Amino acid sequence: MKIGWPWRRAAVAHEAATEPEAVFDASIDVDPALGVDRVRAAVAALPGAGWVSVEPHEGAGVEVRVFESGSGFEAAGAAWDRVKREIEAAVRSVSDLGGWDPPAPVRMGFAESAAQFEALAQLSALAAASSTPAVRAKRAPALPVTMPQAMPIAAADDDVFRLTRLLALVLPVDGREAAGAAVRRFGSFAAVLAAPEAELRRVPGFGVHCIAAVKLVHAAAIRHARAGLAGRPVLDDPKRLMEYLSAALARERIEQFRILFLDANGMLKADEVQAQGTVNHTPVYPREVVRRALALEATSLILVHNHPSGDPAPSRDDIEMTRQVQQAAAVLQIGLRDHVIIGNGRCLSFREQGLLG
Amino acid sequence: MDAKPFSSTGPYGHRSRMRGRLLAGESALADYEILEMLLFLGIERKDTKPLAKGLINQFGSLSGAIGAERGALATAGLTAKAIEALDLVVEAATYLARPELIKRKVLADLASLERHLDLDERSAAAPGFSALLLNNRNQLLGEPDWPAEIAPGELARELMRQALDQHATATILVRNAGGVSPKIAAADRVLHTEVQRAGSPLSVVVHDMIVVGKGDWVSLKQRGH
Repeated sequence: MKIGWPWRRAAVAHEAATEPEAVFDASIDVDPALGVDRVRAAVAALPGAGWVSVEPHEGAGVEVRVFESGSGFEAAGAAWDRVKREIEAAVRSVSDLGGWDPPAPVRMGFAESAAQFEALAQLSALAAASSTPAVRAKRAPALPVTMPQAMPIAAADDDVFRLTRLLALVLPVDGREAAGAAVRRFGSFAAVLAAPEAELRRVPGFGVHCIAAVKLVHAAAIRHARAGLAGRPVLDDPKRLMEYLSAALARERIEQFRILFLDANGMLKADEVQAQGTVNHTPVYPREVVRRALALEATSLILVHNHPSGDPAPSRDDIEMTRQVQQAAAVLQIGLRDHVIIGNGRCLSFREQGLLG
Repeated sequence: MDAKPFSSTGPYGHRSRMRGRLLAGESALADYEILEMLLFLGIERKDTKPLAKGLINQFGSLSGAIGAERGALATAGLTAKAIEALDLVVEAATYLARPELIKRKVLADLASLERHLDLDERSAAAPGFSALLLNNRNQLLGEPDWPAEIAPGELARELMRQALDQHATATILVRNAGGVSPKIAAADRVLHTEVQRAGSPLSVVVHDMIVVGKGDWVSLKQRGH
């Protein structure tokens, strides 16, 4: 089943000028011959469903639309995500066809104005992220952004110049061309520093000395940034913390799960990579997290992981995993102070968003 | 021709072993070793370990040495080149901490997909295959292409190689039919199935296959495949 790959979005938007406003609109991949009647019945049977249209698609599947006027969903004050989930559940109940999962924050909503559309899209992105009612009640109504607005990538010339200076330390010849090629390939000086060795090797002019120099400066810079956290309670300066975590994680291509272990005064005791995952998932075992905290005699923790897609919105799993770690840590009176997700140019703090429960 | 020193002796061997350790995983290196290597960049043919250890003692830590007053570093015996290496570390830390928005094209709806496909231009190009590599936010990570003659098995293999390389989680196959109007051929269904079969164990989802031609396009998914 598919909800959310809005093939017909443009066409529907066009027709909408003459139709009442739909508050939910999705095309669903169910064989019409097999599904329309059953989907229609299932959706209509939802408590609060008012004016619901379920029609076969031109191509394949069915199209479900809920209209605002006369819709009991609206009257019941149901949140957008509930409407969406109920319809999805109803459709699932009549069809267990496989397919790709609804991609989290894509345009699930439908609205007349662009602004309303954005608002719905953001809401549905957050909805996808929340699972427990307690968490949902607390979430902020907009996509959370902790970092200052991301700057456009620094002037490329500066970046090439900086990398040329670095290469000059190891190259007997002018490294401007190699530096230019690398900056063009990865986008910035910082992105070159963070690039994996295998990809650096593909840059013309980059031999083992250049690669080693780049990775050395990268490693030293991250240690230097981490040292900036010492000497005061980590959470006293959230901006500095976010800067360090961005330096360490924002450009990683796969998910990495780290834990900052804090002492009784909130000072950093250790910063450890716990697990490397894949592009969109990292396994975390609460028991092991707590075991490590005990070994380090830490009294509180900050969980950190990155979303290589760039979007720091927490997934359902992220929220569930946080809750499990929090519960496990609480047994041994270890506090979970925050869970930070590092995106691309943006970060999200569970603490700031009130997601820690 | 001068003989190279044995790889296990002298500063050359030591330096190349250290490089090997760095590339194998920097976390295995102690702070003084990182500093020692930074000093390699500015001080040739000399054991820089005593200097590195001395600097850490003098300035308290690796970070203390990196951020130390430049005059004091020169007095401690650092060359201009070695100081430049430390300057670059300070700059790198600043730039790495700065949020950078990597702009990627998002292909989450029909309009953006159509815009990306640029039907007229594609129809004018030579027939062949390409694949849109997407992440789980439908952001376009890359679009490798292949000649029309490629065998389905080879295309599936090459596509998966690229998908893993780019960390893609999904793909949309595109066949450019060139100047003829687009139709889903039996071969397209075979190819689609082949790629799906290759992607499934690797967690690469095939969203769709699209045939482009004569300024128009058709989708396998829309045709109810």
